[in-house]
Order: sequence, then structure tokens, then C-alpha cells
Amino acid sequence: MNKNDIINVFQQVLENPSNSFIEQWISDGGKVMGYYCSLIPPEIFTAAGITPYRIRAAGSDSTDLADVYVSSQLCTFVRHMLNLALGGQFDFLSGIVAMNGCDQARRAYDIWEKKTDIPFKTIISVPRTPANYNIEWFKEELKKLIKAIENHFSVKITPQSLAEAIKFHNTTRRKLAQFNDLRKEPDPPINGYEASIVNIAAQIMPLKDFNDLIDKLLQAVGKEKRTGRYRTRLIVSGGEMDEPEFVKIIEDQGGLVVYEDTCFGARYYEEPVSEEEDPLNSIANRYFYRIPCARMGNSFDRRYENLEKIYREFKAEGIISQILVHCILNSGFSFQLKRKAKTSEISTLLLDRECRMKGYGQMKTRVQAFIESIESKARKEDKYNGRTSK
Amino acid sequence: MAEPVNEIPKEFAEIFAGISRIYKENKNNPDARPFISWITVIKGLLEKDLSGIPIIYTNLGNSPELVLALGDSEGEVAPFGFEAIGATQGFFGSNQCNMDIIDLIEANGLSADVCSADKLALGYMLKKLLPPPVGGVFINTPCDSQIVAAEGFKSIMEVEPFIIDVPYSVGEKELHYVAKQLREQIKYLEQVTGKKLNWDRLKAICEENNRMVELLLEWSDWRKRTPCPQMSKVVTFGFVLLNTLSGTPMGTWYASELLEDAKERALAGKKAVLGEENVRAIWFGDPIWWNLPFYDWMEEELGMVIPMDLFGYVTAEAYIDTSSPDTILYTFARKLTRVMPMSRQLTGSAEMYIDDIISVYNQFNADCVIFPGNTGCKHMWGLLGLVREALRELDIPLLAFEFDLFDPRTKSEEDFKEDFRRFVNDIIIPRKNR
Ligand code: SF4
Ligand code: SF4
Repeated sequence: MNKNDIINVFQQVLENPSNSFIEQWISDGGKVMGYYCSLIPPEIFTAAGITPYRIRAAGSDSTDLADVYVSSQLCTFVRHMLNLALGGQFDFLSGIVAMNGCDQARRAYDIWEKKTDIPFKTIISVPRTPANYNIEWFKEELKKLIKAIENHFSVKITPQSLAEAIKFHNTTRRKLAQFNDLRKEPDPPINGYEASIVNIAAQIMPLKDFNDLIDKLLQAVGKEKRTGRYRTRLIVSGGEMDEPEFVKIIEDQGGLVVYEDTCFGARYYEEPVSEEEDPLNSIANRYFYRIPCARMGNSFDRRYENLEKIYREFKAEGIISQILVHCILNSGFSFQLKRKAKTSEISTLLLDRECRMKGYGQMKTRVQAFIESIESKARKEDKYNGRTSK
Repeated sequence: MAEPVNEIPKEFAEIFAGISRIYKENKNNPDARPFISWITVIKGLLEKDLSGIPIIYTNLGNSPELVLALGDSEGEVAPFGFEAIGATQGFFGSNQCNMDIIDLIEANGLSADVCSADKLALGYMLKKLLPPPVGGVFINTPCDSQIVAAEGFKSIMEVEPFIIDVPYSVGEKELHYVAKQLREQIKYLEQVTGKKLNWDRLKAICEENNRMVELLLEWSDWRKRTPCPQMSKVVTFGFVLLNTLSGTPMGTWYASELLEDAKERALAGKKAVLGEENVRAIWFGDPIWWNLPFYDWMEEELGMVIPMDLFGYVTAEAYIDTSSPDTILYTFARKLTRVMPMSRQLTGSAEMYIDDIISVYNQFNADCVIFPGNTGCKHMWGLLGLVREALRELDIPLLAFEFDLFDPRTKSEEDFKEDFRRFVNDIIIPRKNR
């Protein structure tokens, strides 16, 4: 299989709520646990022998069913996801685990809880401040989750099964990090569209299948021609972004996306879980102390520091902070980013978008203008010659 | 009342001018006693000289007892409920001023979706109109806008905030968790103010809170009477009362004014509405802060009264047990999470809100429910479908609409009036005559 064949397989995985790998797993007697938010540790499901599945708004083209319960004042990610749930398209799940990520996701869980027939449903409470004195709480929540899964599915989650699950997930993380690190190269063998397809696929198919395929992909990319033409290198930042098509729009304008600082992007594969200590402690530590997202209080400085580091490592020239319309938390992050941009060298574009959006006209124009501004800045600074340009 | 109009920024001059005007308009109106008392309270707060006193900002879900207890004597540290500034401007000052501030903060990149209470608070900070704080204590209830406010506070005021994490739902275990964080908060407060928390004074402050709560619970019982004896618009001040004046003699005095007025009027057979009391509605969300006279219009033109709303609803869980420092912190945590308006109803699952609405509807012998959906309130907009379903099952009429609690541009006064006229005349009155 060459690179494009493998990417095509992953692309098919993304098209609809279910996919052939998940279907095969289920027909072999396997169970699937849906979860939303990258602060929920899928290692726990894997340790129970259940395939983790990150809920997203795949293939949804309407919010009619969701609109009966929630208003159009909620973000389209939540509304599309709910619409699929109410239409029975997540009925292949054996359970879902939610968390108090944001108000809208919490309200969505009310509807999942009351209006869907998924057999196992629970919500955990993840602290909103990563202060040392709160980690015990988080550990207790994870223990509660483990108990609930054990009781419902009649399984035992042991320290040993957790340790194995950690290794398994870390393997995937390492492979994804290796794969995404290719994007640091001046002329990377993969573009952002392809990378984001692969990153998302890892979260919605059995890990073993994914690991086999990404091994093949890593071999294939070495033999492939380079992507070549781009005008600038960009980081996409923000919250839920489960649409490679969005990245493609940016790349169609000439902005190569080298990193997704998003929930479906790097927040999934960055920062492995320690394999040295007590497994549950290690899991709690990784999720609790990791680079924070916008739902965490007092988090902006650490996140921005990380963004600057990535910016340098991936030789980016601009950041696009994409916000789903109505997302309060990520709009708060963008507000801070905009304030920071006044004194920073980093070019920043704040871009509102809708999940499963159809028309991209205005967005294209804004991205084009942003790329032009970066180019003209580079020209002024005489850095333009160094890049691979059209 | 003298107005120090010349010494203060024009935005605040608007508030003082409004207070004086409204005071003059109402001072001889025997029906307006609780409103006049409220004006007195607000004026007292605004005129307080804070120079040289360390100021601690406290957010919407907070109550000031711990801050008040810093230092060995009263007034060594001042709590400042910074989100109340928009409400004060909306009540008494100029809506135009609030709208300008909203426009300013949005132009600076804050999304229109953030609750306008926080848009205004951050906007006033950005305009450097608020006093400089030495610290800020935040709690992540009632909503995500609080996290945005804490981040904004940090970057605009350049002061590190302390944030309490309230979990998804609140039971005993959760209260212990919050109480443990309150101990950390005390360390933070002592550090940023340089003042030690005085536990004896805290005990006395909590007892003051308990006196206020007792008065509020009794007041609330008088408002259950049919017809409701006291004007609608004062219920909504309950929120500012809890958020800003808990544990202070001024808060207790105001609660006693509310109670005395309600009791005297009820015993004298007086009622809130002008003619017949046609409709009793439970208003379960934000008030129209930018247009309090709308409540007078409801009473006068529709014979509609709000015996209770979400902001005025207090339960006995607001009592603080002063037996020991541990019981104080545990029951103070309970007050923060189980009593503070919005935080109580919006923490946990939809049942918290729905059960409260039904309980208040029954306790206050209401005919219908008003669901005011503040544009920026994602909780409310996420709850609407389940609320509608639950009330339909109980055959309780519901009026839901979108508006902005501080910004008249989302829904105009005329549109409000039209909605309310139709609801009352086409739905409620015919039902009552069935
Ligand atoms: S996009 Fe924002 S509002 Fe929507 S689910 Fe994510 S964090 Fe919540
Ligand atoms: S109205 Fe809603 S958005 Fe505004 S402070 Fe209350 S809970 Fe938050």
C-alpha cells in the first residue's frame, strides 16, 4: 500500500459515525465505549477490554432532532453530535462516558442520559484547576469510573491491565508523535489535511488496527514525494476540531498546517503516560497536569508558552485560532490570544467557524488575507527567500 | 441626597444621577419602601471610601464572608463583587453606557457569546474604571463565563486569581472537597492582603449572615400569599444581596426592610398589582436588568406579579453552622453551591433546575413559568427542551424567549410587552376561566 492508499483507508474511517473496523470488532463480540473530551482517559476502557471511541459529529448534515431540545445558541459540534445520537447513529456504542468539560457538553449529556438507549451512561467530574490539592479528587473520580465499568460490564480492571493499556496507548502516541514530527521538516512528506485524518482516525477505531496501519504509513511516507508548494506554515489552535476539511481549506489557500493544537489533534497524542509508577496515579497525573485547554481556569499562560515552543519547533509563521461559534471557553482563549498578539511577534488570526459547515467563502477570504499579511511581513524582514514557495 | 458627580468618571456619574432621580421619583410612594431601601444600600456601597484598603474581587458565584473576616477589625479588607457593576449601571444608570462597554470588549476580541455580566465586568476593567485589586477569588459556578472572567481578570488587572473548582454535582463528598479548597483560598487571601483571617470575626459574620437568611426565609413566606403583597422587581435584588452583602449589618437591615414591608402590606390587605391579581408567574432565570420598570408595567397593565424568581429564591441551606471552623467551611461551601442563585440550579443534571422550578411554582401558588433565555447563557439554552417537556407533562404554561440581560438591542421593550400581552391574554386568562 502506498501513502495515498493508507490515507484513503483512514479517510473512510472518518466518514460516518461507525466504520468498518468498529463493525468488525463488534461482530467479533467486542464492545465500544464512546467518550467526549480529551481529558477522559481511554486507557481505562482499553484495560476493561473495551474499544475507546471518541464521539464526534461525523457525517451529520442536520440538527433537526437536537433542535427540539437545545437551542441554536449552542455550538454546532454539540448539536450535530446530539442529532446523531438522537437519530440512533451511536447505538453501536455499549456505553458513553461524559465529563463536565463545558456547559454545553454538560447539557448535551442531559439529553444523552434521558433520550438515548445506550446501556451504560456516566459522567465524571474533572477539576477545572490543576492545583495539587485537587488531584486526589480526580483520582477518586477515576476509581469511581472504574468501579462503574466493572459492575456494568462484569469485568475486572486490575493494575496490571491498566499498565498494559498504558503501554498500548503510549505506543500509539509514540507512533503519532513520530508521524507528526515529520511535519517539522522544511518540506514535509505529509500535509495538515492528511495528518489530521490520521490523528482523528486513531481515536475512533480499534488501536491494534490503527497501529498496524500507521506502521505501514510510516514506512510508505519515506518513499513518497514531498508535498512541495506552500506559502506559509501555520498552527491551527482551539478546541474541538474534528474536520480535516477545515484544514484543507487553509491549505488550499497556500497555508501549510504543521500542527493542530486542538482536542482531536495534539492533545490526544502529546505527553505520554508514565510507565514507571502506579498505573492509576500515572494516568491521573498525565491528564491532570498536562498542557491545559480552555476549560481549565488560570491556564492561558501555560498554554501560550507551549504554543510558542511548538511555533519554534515546527517553524510556523502564524497561528489560526479557530473557534466554534457559541463556544464560550475557546472564545475566552482567543480573547487572550488577541491581547497577547498586540505585543507578540507571532501573527495570529481568530477564525469563527461552524461544525459541518457548507459554505466556506468568507473563511477563504480571511485565510488568504492572513497569509498575505504573513508574506508581506516576511518580505519586510527579508526572510522570504528561505521558503519553498509557489 | 448629594451627588459627588464631578469627582467621578462619567460612567459612574450616570449611576449616581440615576440613583438620585429614581430616589426622588419614588420617595413619597408608600408602595416603594423596599425599593427605596435598596437604593439606600447601593448608594452606601458606592460611596464607601476604599482608598488604602486592599480590595479582593469576588465573582458571581461567590459570597463575601471569608474576605470580610480578614484582619482583626471590620473593614481592613474590602470584597468587591465586580460583576454587579453592570447590574448597577443597568438598574440606575445608563443602558447606553453598558452598551458602549459591551461594544468595546467585543471589539477587543471577546465573543458576543460570553454572558454580558462578564462582558461588562471585563469591559469596565479594560476601561480602568474599577478599583485596583490585590487579589481575586473565583468559583467556577454558575457557568463557563466565570472561567473566561477569571482569565480576563488575570490579564487585564495583572493579578493572579484563586479559583475554586465545584464538581459536576453536589453531595456531601463534593462539599468536603469545596471546603478543602476554601482552606487553600484562605491561605491565598492572607498572602495577598497581608491580613490574617480572624476566626472569631468570621463566626460573627456568619451569624450575621444567618440573621439575614432567617429574615429572607420569612419574607419569602409572606410573598407566597395570594394576592402577593409586595412589588415584583425587588425579588431580583436577592442575588446582589447574597453576592455582595451577606454577613454585613447592611444586608441584614435590607432583608428586614423587605420582610417588614411585605408583612405590613399583607396584614393591611395590600397587593402588588394595581387591579385584580390575574397572573402569578415564576420568573426562573435572569431578570431584565436593563428595564426594571417593565415589572411595574406587568403589574399595572396585566395584573401579573412575580412572587418569586430564581435570583430571590433562598433555602435554609444558606445557614452557616458556626460551631467550629470545620463546620463553618463545610456549610459555607454548601451556601456557595446549593444556594447562590444560578449556581444552585445549574450545577449537576437538568433535574436540579427542573425540580426547583416545579417546587417554587407549587410553593408560590403560581399559574405559569417564565423562562428568560439570556443569549449568553448556554445552560439555559441547553435546558429549554427538557424544561418544556417536564412542564408540559404537568400542564404548566411556559413563556420562553431570548433576550440579553443588559443589552436592549437583542429584544426591545415593545417586543417584550407584546409577548407578555399575548401570553397572558391568549393562554393564561382563558385557562383560568376554563
Ligand atoms: S466547542 Fe466549545 S462549546 Fe462546543 S463542546 Fe467544545 S468546548 Fe464545549
Ligand atoms: S445567566 Fe447564565 S451565563 Fe450568565 S452568569 Fe448566569 S449562568 Fe452564567
